[in-house]
Amino acid sequence: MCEHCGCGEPHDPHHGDGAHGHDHEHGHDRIAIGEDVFAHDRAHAESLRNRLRELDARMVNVIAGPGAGKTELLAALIGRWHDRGPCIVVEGDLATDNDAKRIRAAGAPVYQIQTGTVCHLTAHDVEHALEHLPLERRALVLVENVGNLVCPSLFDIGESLRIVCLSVTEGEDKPLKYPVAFRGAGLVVITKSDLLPHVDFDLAACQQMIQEIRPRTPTLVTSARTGDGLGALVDVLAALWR
Amino acid sequence: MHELSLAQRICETVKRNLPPGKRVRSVVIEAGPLSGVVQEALEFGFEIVSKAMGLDGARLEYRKLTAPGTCPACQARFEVSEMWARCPRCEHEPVTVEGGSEFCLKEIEVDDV
Repeated sequence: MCEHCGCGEPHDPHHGDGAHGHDHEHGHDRIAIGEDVFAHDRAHAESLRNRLRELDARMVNVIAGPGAGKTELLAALIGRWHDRGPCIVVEGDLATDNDAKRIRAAGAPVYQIQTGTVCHLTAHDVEHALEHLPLERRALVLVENVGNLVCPSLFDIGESLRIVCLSVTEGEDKPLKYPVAFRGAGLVVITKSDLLPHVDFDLAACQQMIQEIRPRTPTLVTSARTGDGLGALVDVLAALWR
Repeated sequence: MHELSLAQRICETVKRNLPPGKRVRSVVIEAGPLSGVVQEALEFGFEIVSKAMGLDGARLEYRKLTAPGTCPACQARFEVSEMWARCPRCEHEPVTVEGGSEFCLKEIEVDDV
């Protein structure tokens, strides 16, 4: 019996090279498709990117595991950005609006997407979230993705810059464990540097792994608590308009 | 578990390309080593979603692609087939990979209903 379709014909010759060319006289056909499975997401991402470009706005997609300090980093950033232009925030979480409350307290308009069981944001999600926010000319749109270093890495949400964060409390081998996330990073931000004296985090080894996975990836070492590195981060974001 | 979302996108594309009077026998996916997709999770998701979307009996054929890799330590060049790759010569990890993030619905096999 044919193992491809169970049709009862001998395996050869109708399969040709084994995996292809399955043309039977009784109506079996192969239809070539050749479509990127993410094509739908990329189309939404491109449409959103064009819309933001028309407004001279920039979007930053912040990706990290849970507890890496994304929200704290964004809150600290908002405080340093306010005289540079409008800044709005989209928060993605499985549940609660706790992060949105923290961002609101930091002074930026924010919309919380509760994804329920979905582990990542899509460009389509962000398009709808922006309907609830004042998207002005030259706005900086910060998107805090769902806390997860796997799934969000696969989805282009229309960002100008993708930041991947990891904290010094997580272990320096995160880039080894999540190569897809770190390969997609336009900037890697190492957070909670104020804790470096208290943990066995090998900063140099971590930075080397990042360079080996994707040579010339810019890296910043920051602490939202002390403010270290935040000036440099503001400069990187301001450079998105150059 | 983004594979469930991906299975849904795959089934939507299959349905869009399915001629009237035909049913899907198999769906061929090609995935690079850095696609970030776990084969078993996708197969699990596909089984659930294909039934829910009226594509009962469709089989997922998952073809793994390779991508060219370079060892940053010894400069060896080789083909990478897994996400967590190490250098086959000096065992250094991580390695630098070119491309490898493809995730493509290549073709479908159909027959008469």
